Amino acid sequence: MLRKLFLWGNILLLIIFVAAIAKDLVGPYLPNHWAWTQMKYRQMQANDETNPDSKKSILARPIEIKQIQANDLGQIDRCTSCHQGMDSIVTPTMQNSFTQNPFKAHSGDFLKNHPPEKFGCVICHGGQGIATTFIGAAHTPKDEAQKAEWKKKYGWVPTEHWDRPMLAPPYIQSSCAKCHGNFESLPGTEVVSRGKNLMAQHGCLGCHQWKGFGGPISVDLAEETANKPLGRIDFSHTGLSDEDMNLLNWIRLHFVKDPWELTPGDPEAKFNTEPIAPSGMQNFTLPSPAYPDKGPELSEDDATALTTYILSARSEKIPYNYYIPGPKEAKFEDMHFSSRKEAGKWVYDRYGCAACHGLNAKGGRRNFNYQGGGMEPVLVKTVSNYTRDELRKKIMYGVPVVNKDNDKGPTPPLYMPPWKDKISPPEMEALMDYLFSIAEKQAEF
Amino acid sequence: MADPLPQTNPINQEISRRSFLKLGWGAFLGFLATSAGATLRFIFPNVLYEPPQTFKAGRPEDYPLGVSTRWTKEQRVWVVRVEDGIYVLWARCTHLGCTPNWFQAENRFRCPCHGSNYTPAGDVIAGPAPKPLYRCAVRMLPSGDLLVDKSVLEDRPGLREKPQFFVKLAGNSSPTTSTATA
Amino acid sequence: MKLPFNLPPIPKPEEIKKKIIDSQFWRSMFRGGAWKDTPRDRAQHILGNVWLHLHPSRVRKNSLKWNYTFGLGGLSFLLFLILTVTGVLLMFYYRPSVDLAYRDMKDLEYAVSVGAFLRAMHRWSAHAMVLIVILHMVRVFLTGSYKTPREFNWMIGVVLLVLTLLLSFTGYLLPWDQLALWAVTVGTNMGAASPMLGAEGPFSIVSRSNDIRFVLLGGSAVGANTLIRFYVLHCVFVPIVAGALMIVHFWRVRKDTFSGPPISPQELPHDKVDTWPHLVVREYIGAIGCMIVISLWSLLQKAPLEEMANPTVTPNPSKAPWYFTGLQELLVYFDPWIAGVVLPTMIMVGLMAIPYIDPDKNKGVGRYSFKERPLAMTYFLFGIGMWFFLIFIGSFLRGPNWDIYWPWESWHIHKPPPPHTWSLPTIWGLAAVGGYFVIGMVLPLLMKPEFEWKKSLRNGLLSILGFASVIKIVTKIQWEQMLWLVVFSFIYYILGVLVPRRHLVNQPKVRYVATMIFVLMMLGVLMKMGVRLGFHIKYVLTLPQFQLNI
Repeated sequence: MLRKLFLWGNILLLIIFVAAIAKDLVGPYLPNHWAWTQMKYRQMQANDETNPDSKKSILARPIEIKQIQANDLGQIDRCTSCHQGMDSIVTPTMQNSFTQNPFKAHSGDFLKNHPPEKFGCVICHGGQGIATTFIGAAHTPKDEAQKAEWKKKYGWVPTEHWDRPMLAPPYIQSSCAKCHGNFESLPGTEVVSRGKNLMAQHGCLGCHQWKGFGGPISVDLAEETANKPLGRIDFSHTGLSDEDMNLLNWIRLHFVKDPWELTPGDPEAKFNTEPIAPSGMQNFTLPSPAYPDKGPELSEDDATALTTYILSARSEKIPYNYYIPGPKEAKFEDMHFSSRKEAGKWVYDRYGCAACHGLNAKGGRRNFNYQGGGMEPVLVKTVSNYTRDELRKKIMYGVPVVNKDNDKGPTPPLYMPPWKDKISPPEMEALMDYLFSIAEKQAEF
Repeated sequence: MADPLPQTNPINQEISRRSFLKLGWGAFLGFLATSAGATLRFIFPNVLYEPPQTFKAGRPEDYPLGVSTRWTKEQRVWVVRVEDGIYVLWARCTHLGCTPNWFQAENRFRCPCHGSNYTPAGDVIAGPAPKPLYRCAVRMLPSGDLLVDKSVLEDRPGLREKPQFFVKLAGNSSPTTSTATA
Repeated sequence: MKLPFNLPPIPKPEEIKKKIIDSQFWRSMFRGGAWKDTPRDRAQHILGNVWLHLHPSRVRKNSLKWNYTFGLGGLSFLLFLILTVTGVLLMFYYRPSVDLAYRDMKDLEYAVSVGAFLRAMHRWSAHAMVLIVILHMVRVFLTGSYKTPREFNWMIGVVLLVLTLLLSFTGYLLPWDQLALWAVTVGTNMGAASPMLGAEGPFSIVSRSNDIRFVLLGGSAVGANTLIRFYVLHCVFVPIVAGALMIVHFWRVRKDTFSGPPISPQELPHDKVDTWPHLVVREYIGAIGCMIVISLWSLLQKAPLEEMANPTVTPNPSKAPWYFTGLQELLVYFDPWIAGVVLPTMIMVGLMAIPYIDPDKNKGVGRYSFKERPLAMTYFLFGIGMWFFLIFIGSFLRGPNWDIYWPWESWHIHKPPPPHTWSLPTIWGLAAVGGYFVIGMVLPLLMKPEFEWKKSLRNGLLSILGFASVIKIVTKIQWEQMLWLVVFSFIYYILGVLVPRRHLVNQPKVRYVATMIFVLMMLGVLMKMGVRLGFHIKYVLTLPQFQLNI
């Protein structure tokens, strides 16, 4: 008996160790792993090559892990171990005739302006550069069809413990805005530029801040949202499946789902000692109160654009010489307006008043448990009740504590913040001119 | 050659074996003790490469009512604005030192390590934490900024409301709330 | 083709072998010449070999039985060797710096040949070693192999257990991922709760900047200094101390003679066999079996690595490795200085003291016998069982915010906050704790000396159900809480009343009281868990003036 154990034990141990060694030495040569990909590329490239000497040297090329050390950015990117069409030594022209990943060359002119030796790949694409496997690299499928295909081909699952997966198009445009302050003037940034414009139009900065500038009512989108750790997100009300629970979808859901569903709070104090209001954010799937006949205030494409723009605030260690400053923010004093009304509208948009008072001051937004039915004042209707001085005072000092509709209910999430340190006196005067000019005359009240 | 020192010199006195060994081993024990002491002193670092404990936290007007997580990542504090002032909580659970998370929807801090729950004032309402959250010393600078000092902490009710840890702010001089309905 | 000269004859393999063995070169290294299979040469295999000569040259036949020791001690040592070898190899690629440590771990996984396998071997061997060392301790207890003359070796064994846990703890930090950082943060904060030497413990004589936590961390928080200190502790200091103690431990096994079953008359004269090959072969096969299990597991199961360490974000939940989740779960019910310092110290001291408080020097040595040692077996196995039960809860039933999550519940869904806890007023607390010990001491004495187990259990259960029903009607507690009350009272009834009544009461008074104190404290931990889980009582006794809360 002991002899049998001795013999088979030793043999089994040998088999296991050989398997372990083979996993690392032979494994990469299995289909769709990096060494196999390199061999295939070698063959494909040789087939395309007509010169017999070049053909020979291509086929003699060693199979090894390739990496780009972008030291300025602190990145080690091993993407070119598979994506050889983007390796400047393997494919000196950075062009080839292949159309499928991982063999195809990089699209567009990006690599001309962003040499991979200096930038690497991850700074734009995201993902885990140091990995050498398909799943380890945190590839993100761009749609459900690709996800199904990858599940079949690669056994795709979301990468564990890596919270910066690759950015599928068009979200990758957020990376442009990380370094390029002037991104709006660059080609290929349509989606992220649209996101920036939408943010300005719909008054997001009335409640939120963006890198420090904005209203105090809600979180800083750059600090608290784009860089929010996954552990702090409560996905209970998202309806997302496990593999879709990531930051990108969390941000996007704020635009395509009713935030009252996403963060319902606890208005009836079922789980807490005191009631907690739901989110103060508007339901952008509904038409704007200002334009009830138009479709949803934000479309699916709008949601994508805004998410892309917000993601551009993900913090990176970018050295100063990589950063390109953008055009200076227009200041009120430097602008030329054709009318007082236009000047005032500019102020209205700049400080995000539309966040609570609606587009063009026409529709008040919802405010849970706010007195009088839970809606913010519609400025066009209420402004005429104030004198100029009263209005100025109200805007300058705000209304930090608002009256509740139901005293037992939660504190309303929205309030009027003080603007005296933000809006300069000339801007204030212009704003008031605008408001008074669009005020509907109240016949009686 | 003649003995240079007289017989009465202590060096020339005979020493007993016992005393000799006592002296010798005693010296060795002394050596061991001082080595142990020196080793103990050695392992206490004199210089630390840790960031400074005070920082400027912006102006009180920039903080809305409620808990602000603006400095949580950079400085590990929460700035809490209440009706009559501002105080700063150190974001360290008093149980075993993890960083609790602020849940706006539930109006409480919750520690992920063993489930301690705190109110915005820092009091423990659930979980094993034995003490409330610490407040950091905070004061207003002449420039209007808040200066937070994380090296001075207080958690005892009564003492934590003292001016050293609580910056009183004049209630917002808001005009009469308008009765105009939307 | 024919050569123009004659080649010398090609020697046969046996001749070559003989020439080598007879050469000066060989004989200078290996004395004894060619081996013959004689008793003398078999003995020489053992006695003349520096690696094997700790073994006796002959052993008793029935000490070879696998199901006596299960080879657990040897396996512990084998795992230590595997850890040393894999550890040294890993040191070629790992740099203990906060900028590089995490990246080196990723490199080991993706860019180093056999790197992932080696790392997995190291990690799983470490977990296995903790488990095997604990099982070894249980085996030694169950066979009474700690009794005279082996008490000192048992104490060294307990110290070795602690060193094994320390090795695991220090090694845990090295990958510098979230798990590492926060597990060590929690662990070192428990150190800060030590009495006297910890800044946040009772009777503290030091401040936060020079207490024992400060020395361990090399600073005020887990950082670069901590990493290098733990690296030195893990790779050099603790292994040297453990190695030295292992030398003493193994030597004492020989010196105190191996604790096999007593010799039966049929075996006389001694039925001894040669160590070589009988014992050595079994050791070898055991070692191969262990290597197979560890390497197969390492081949199939990746060693985990979470996100890079981030001092501003605590993972939710943040769990210690399994051998410490018992302790982490215990922290729910007790303050850190009790759960993290007092209880572990008492457990360690208690373990070390077992050989000295054991009244029976001879019963049950060398065999597994519940009948001969019912008291010892019951309480020891209960203690081990309770410890593993805590590990089970902490590892599998706790989710985000340390709420209870059943295995089928997803961790992505946050649960509503837990109900508020309350504490007994001080007077009631004093009465409760004092009453518990006094009544607990007296209760076993009140029962009839002779009782039938079945009948007593049945009667006890019925009485408890009766009492609980009365309480439910009078105080309007929930059904769930009544269940807690019944279950915990019943466990107490068995272990705190029936077992002592049967086995302990006839002991001399001092021994009875001393043992009952330990029993009551062990059961007290369980009772405290019950009142916390069932009735949300945070502190039974709170003396805020002394910062004492139980």
